[in-house]
Amino acid sequence: MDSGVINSQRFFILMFLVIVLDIAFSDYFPWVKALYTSDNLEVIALNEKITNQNFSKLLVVKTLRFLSVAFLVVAFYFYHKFLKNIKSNVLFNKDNYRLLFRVSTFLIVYAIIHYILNYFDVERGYFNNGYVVFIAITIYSFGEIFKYATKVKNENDLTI
Amino acid sequence: MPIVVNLDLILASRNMKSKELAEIIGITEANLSILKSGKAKAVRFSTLEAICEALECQPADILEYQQE
Repeated sequence: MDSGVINSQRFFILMFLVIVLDIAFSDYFPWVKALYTSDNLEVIALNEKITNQNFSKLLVVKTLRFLSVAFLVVAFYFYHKFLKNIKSNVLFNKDNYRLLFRVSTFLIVYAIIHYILNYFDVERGYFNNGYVVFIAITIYSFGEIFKYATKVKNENDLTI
Repeated sequence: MPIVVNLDLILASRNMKSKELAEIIGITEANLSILKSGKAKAVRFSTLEAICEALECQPADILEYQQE
């Protein structure tokens, strides 16, 4: 069984976590928080006129923000699964290196989304993009090492 | 894989069971099964030596190269 699979129950828990985190982080940006509550939206509307152009921009930003947090949470989830496998002495198998590849992919996607948000000049990100990319590349390298180690282990297991 | 293991034929000709051979050469039945089914990636010289000794045959009798 592929340990990277997210079942529906876990998916909903993860999405709940994403929303909570997203709202928590949006405290740093009052105008983003306004997207969740109608009261604040009125405040925002008073402070700056929301034009049609602004609204579509906010919609894109909100969607990207949600996606970025979702990718980050899923990346942490996969990393947690990887650590769990390591703790249960399952070191070199297909699932482990696949989990590492997924973590690095999600981190790269997170960095790309934040790069786009920076382009809009609305989001500076919770983490430095450079660090995120560096961590993603490091994790990918570890994934490659695990992949090679798994291959060697399989060959060793099949040596009679 | 172009290398074919003819262990089954040799065992049949010697009227010996896999279990007996596994016990004689000191490997598990599961490993012997891997060897017989051709799933093995490599065979140690020590294992080959033990098999040849137990079955009184040459390595060439067990292993055969077949072009794909």
